[in-house]
Amino acid sequence: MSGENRIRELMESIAKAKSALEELKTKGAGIPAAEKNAIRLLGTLNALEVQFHPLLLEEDGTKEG
Amino acid sequence: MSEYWNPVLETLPPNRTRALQFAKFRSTVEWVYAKSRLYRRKFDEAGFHPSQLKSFDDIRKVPLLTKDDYRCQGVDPFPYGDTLCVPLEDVTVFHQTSGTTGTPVYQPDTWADWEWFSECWATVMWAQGFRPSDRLFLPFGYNIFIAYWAGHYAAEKIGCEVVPGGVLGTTERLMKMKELKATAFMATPTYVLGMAETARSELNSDPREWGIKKILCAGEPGALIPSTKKRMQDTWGCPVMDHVGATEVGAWSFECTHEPGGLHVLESMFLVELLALDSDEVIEKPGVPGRIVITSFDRLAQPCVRFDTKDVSMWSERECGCGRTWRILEGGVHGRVDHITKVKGVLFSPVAVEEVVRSFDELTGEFEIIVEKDGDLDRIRLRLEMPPDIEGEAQDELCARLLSNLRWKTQLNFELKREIFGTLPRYALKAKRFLDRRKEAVK
Repeated sequence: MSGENRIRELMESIAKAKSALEELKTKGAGIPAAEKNAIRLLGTLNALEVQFHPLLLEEDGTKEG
Repeated sequence: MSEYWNPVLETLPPNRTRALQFAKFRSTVEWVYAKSRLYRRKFDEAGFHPSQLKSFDDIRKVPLLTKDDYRCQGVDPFPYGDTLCVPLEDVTVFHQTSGTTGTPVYQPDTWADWEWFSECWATVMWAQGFRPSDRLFLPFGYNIFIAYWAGHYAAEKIGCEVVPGGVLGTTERLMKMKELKATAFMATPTYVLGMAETARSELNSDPREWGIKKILCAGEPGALIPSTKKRMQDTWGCPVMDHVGATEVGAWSFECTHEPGGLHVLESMFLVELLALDSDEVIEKPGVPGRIVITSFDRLAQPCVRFDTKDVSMWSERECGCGRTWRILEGGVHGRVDHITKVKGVLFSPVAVEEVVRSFDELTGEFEIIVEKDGDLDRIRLRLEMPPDIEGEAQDELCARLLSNLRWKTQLNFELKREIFGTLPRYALKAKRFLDRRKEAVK
């Protein structure tokens, strides 16, 4: 892992994916094939989100409060 | 490809891990206080509010959660009651605990929670060397107990080929493993040894020749008891690594391929504390036994906050050659607090007996410990299965050596009852080898 830039890029990609999936869920509302799969994909994406927390970007990530 | 599932988190400096844990702990506490009737009630009764969390030390103000707290389940929203933190329609899977320590706990998970659970398992399995080239056989019943469900999904996530071995009997499972040339499997230590015994007796086959490259053990202590680990490794001819998790908690710890003699705590997903055996004092010093208290982060439907597992361990001071900065629990889980008891005034742990019994290669390794009262005095008996090929004086000498070793290890004199080979129960999941009948006598 080459550093904070890479983490930042990953987090930006995750955010974009989340935004796209939220849009998919909204546009697919009422169509189970779209809505249910979008919800499932968002749940899966959550597993990525918890792996890359914003605190990882802070230079001095020692703040407790 | 990195040797770590998440190289950033697994090698993060400890002070940054701690900061991350505090941030996640606070989010979790705020979540459960807002969403769960149980936690709102507990925190209010204890005079605690999430706004009191200003620093890591404030975590100790949060009241402990125990299995007794789950008695509030069974009411609406049925069946989870006061523990549920999400709308019932968001729950996509039900599991429950085995109930070995009392009334089973119901555990709901949303799809996001279930993906989180398999993410934890993926971290564990990647650390144990599971890779897309593995054909993983799961000799598991696929039922309401959580057991290896998440291991199945994590293995798929990693890219392994998963062979579900549910429903089949032990012999059929072994035949399928051999037929498909499985490279790995998961089971409790009891079943790992049981499967090997069946392979030899029913299939007349030596499991060491099957090409199994790794075994993940979970569900009960054993893989970190040196003699049990050696017995499993010798029997199957491959590394055997421990993983400890719990239905209410998640997959919170693992032994890596470097086998450091303990369990790495998955510190990015959980906060693990050790509390004194007889008080709520937090233990930070290595080498001091304490009971394991765990908070799970990022599990939304029914998180556990400072859940007292009643399991015992101690921090290690060693660093692992794997390079992970996550702390290690020395020797893994040593046993249950309620199994660590005084017998004849001496502190006793059943794990010590397993260590001695399994160090004798001549023995089958099957045993049972019974503690009971004889008037006012404690009596401790060991039922021990005898090997079929050792009799007479040779058996007497074996038993004498065993009792001597037990006396040295535990400071106790055991009454030995020799049992015929095959008469003690074989378990497919957790073994029940310790029976303390003194408590029944009191009732």
